[in-house]
Amino acid sequence: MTRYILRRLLEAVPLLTLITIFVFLLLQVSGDPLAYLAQDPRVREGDRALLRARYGLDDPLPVRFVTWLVGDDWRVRDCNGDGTPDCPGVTQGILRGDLGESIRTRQPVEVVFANALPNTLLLGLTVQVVVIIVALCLGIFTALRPYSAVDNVLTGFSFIAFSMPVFLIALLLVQVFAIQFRAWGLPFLPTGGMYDARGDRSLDELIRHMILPVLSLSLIQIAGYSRYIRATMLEVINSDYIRTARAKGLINRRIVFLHALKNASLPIITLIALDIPGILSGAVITETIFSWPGMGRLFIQSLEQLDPPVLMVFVLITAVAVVLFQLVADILYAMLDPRVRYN
Amino acid sequence: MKRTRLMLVLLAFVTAFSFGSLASAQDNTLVIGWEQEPPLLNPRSDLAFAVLMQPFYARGLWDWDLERNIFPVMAAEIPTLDNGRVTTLENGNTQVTISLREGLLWSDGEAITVDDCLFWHEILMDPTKGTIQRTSYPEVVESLEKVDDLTMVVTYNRPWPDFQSQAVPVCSYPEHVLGPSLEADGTIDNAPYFSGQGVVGYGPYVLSEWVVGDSMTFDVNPTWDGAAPGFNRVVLRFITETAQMQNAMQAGEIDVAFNWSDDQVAAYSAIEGTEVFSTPGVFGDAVWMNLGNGGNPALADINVRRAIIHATDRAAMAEALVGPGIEVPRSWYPEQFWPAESDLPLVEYNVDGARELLTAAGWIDDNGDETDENTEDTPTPRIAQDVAGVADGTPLILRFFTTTRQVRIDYQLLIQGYLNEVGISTQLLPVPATILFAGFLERGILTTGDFDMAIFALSSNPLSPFADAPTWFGCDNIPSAEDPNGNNGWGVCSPEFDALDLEVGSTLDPAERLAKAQEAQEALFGQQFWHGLYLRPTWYAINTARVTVDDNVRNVGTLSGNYFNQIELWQPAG
Repeated sequence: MTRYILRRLLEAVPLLTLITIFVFLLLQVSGDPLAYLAQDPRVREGDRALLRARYGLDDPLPVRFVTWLVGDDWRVRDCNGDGTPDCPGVTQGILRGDLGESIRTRQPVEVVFANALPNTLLLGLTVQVVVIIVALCLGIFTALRPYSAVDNVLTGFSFIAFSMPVFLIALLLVQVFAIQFRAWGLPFLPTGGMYDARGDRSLDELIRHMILPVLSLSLIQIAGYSRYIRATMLEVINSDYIRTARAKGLINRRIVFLHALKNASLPIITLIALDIPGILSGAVITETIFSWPGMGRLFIQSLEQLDPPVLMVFVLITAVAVVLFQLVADILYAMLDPRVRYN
Repeated sequence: MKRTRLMLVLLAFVTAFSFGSLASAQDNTLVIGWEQEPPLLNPRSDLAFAVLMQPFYARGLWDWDLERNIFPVMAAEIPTLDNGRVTTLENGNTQVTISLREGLLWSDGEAITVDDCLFWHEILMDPTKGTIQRTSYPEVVESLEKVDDLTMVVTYNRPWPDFQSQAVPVCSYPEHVLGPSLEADGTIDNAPYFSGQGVVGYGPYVLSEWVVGDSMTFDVNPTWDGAAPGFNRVVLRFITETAQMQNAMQAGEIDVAFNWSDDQVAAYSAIEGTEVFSTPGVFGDAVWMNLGNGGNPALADINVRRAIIHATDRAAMAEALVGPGIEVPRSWYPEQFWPAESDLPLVEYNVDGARELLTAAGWIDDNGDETDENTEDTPTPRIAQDVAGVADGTPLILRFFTTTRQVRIDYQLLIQGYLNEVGISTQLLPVPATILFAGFLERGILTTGDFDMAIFALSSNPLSPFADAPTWFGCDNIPSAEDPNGNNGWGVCSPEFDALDLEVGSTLDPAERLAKAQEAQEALFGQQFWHGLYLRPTWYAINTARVTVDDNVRNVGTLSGNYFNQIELWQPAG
């Protein structure tokens, strides 16, 4: 197993390198991060040239890539835009732990991420917990009553939820629970943000603000997961060993939760492991709609403002997470299913 | 039983949270929905929304009301020619003496002195000390000298009639806070101040908290010596999604939503307890034609340019797309600088006139389908016949750009329909503003001249008839590979206008200056390359249950910065 893990990790290196090169090139041809300054005549050309020099935007592409990777403290740079190298480089590059500096906020990239990542993890992990619990309940419930009225109704709701775009679900939920409930004099929920602007940033405020984004994100996932669990449970429940267990007179709860669910959950665990990297990258649409200051919103802002240092690290984090959690999924699969061996 | 219990617990849970929210809404806090979070507080440009925040915590030497009356803020007196604070040196250059009011304090209690102005002067003069908006300051200011702690003398290197509105010393940033950053780094660019840490200013409020991605909180500045603010706290809540801004207003989570687009007037007006109003804008959306920077050769002919405008009913479009009673601006210049008789010609809607002009220019309707009453099909484009520089038979097809702003796209569509009727075809090309306005080296659409017509807005200066016009219209400012810094992407060139505008920029006598400005304007607009569509108003929606909507609120800002420049005068409802 150790050899397998090492091999997979080594295989990930060229993959991540290729992703990095591709995204770097893509961002470089996407436009000039300082183009927005050209629209403003109050910013003089000298200032723009200085900024370009400071960020190395006029350096040749390979130099920029190498600088991003290993820094520029090994060379003398042109820092004032006059074309002559005149100051020592100070960056160390991502391979030496220096994630760089955001062009727009002038903050170290790690600080930018430190502001957004915890909020995204809070939202994403809550969603994941809600999804797993509710989807398991619904999936098992419907698998035990296949083609009943309840199953048909839940199946119908699943298809509706699954076919709706998340932004529509989000806006509908806001309209109902934040706007109409308030108009009807019922307890209502906030439209967005993490806390009330006039509030005290307490835990109950946070929970109230999480309800609608969590619901928006969960509904579609619950629909998908519950159908998946229903299918795998149905398959397992009709297998010979379950029939044997029933013939032996085991009580139904024990059969379902101990024998059937254990085997039915194998592909679901893989699915969850593969979904976790998605949490890190944030829910772009939902975070934007609900003004949730997380990774998804950061990504959109950085994209709109074309902030390559932030975008590069964002893509790298996501890529590393995908590679790692694929490996985790494979390992978990091997641990849970004795028939699977990686030699 | 179990289910009922569970439902009751859930209901109690949600109810408790909701009522908690209602109770906390009774405090003296004003919440403003803010559609863009600035990456920095640095006045480097970044986003206009960073500049819009400054009235809360950083005021200037003076300001203007909506009637263009200037009034002092940090200054003891407004320098004028009459009070002797503005003099002309022997060499003809202008010198201005400015005094700060006595007893001005920064929000941390330190005294505001001329040293603070000198500190920012150094930064304005030296780009290596900070990348900021420096306008024409370093080009026109020769020196800023300290007379005493409260008095300074600014000397311009030319006659400078705009000494009140352009290249004015800045005293809004504290030396004792930013100085150490400059000393340590050699630049203020990385000063924690601009990331919201330790912000000290002179304004009714002081920044107390910036939760990135969520909100900014301003509390009353204890050292502010102006009118006492009506609200103890102002929170700017960042809501980037348009529909959600409206929802937040409807849900009572924000008290003010502003800068939303014209098509939302009905929706905001429908929100109970909300007053909606607009303030006049300085951004005038217009059709710009590329007549000299690589555009379609047809546009080099003034008859074609005039025909395009004759063919479009701009008044009807403004009525349909913006609102009733919206006027079509006749000039890029603000109204007060128009010729005295206000007789700037507005090219009227005249389809037959447009057709005649096109035919006269050599663009003919070869198949007569424009006047064929038996068909409802869109006429085919006219073709060239003996047009200089154009092969005979070439169809008249124009590349028509704009940004992705909805109202502009709607205008594009209507104009396309109007132009079809006179045999001009258009390719509609809405692109992001960053691409349309990008610089020459970044292959911007306007700067490289890769367009024939475009709709966009360029703000004019409401305080001066010399509004950097040569930058936008000067013959020397047409961008090229040799001179990529030019901004005159539409290639208009009138040596007469350039000469007159230079004189406008250096004439101190107001009456003489105005006469020259009007002459310059006629020289410019005689070329028929700019045609106004509408002046973009700034819309506001105010929750009347939380804010007393009086004239202080309706005049939400002042002329020079029409956003929250008098926020301290806003009062809570009741």
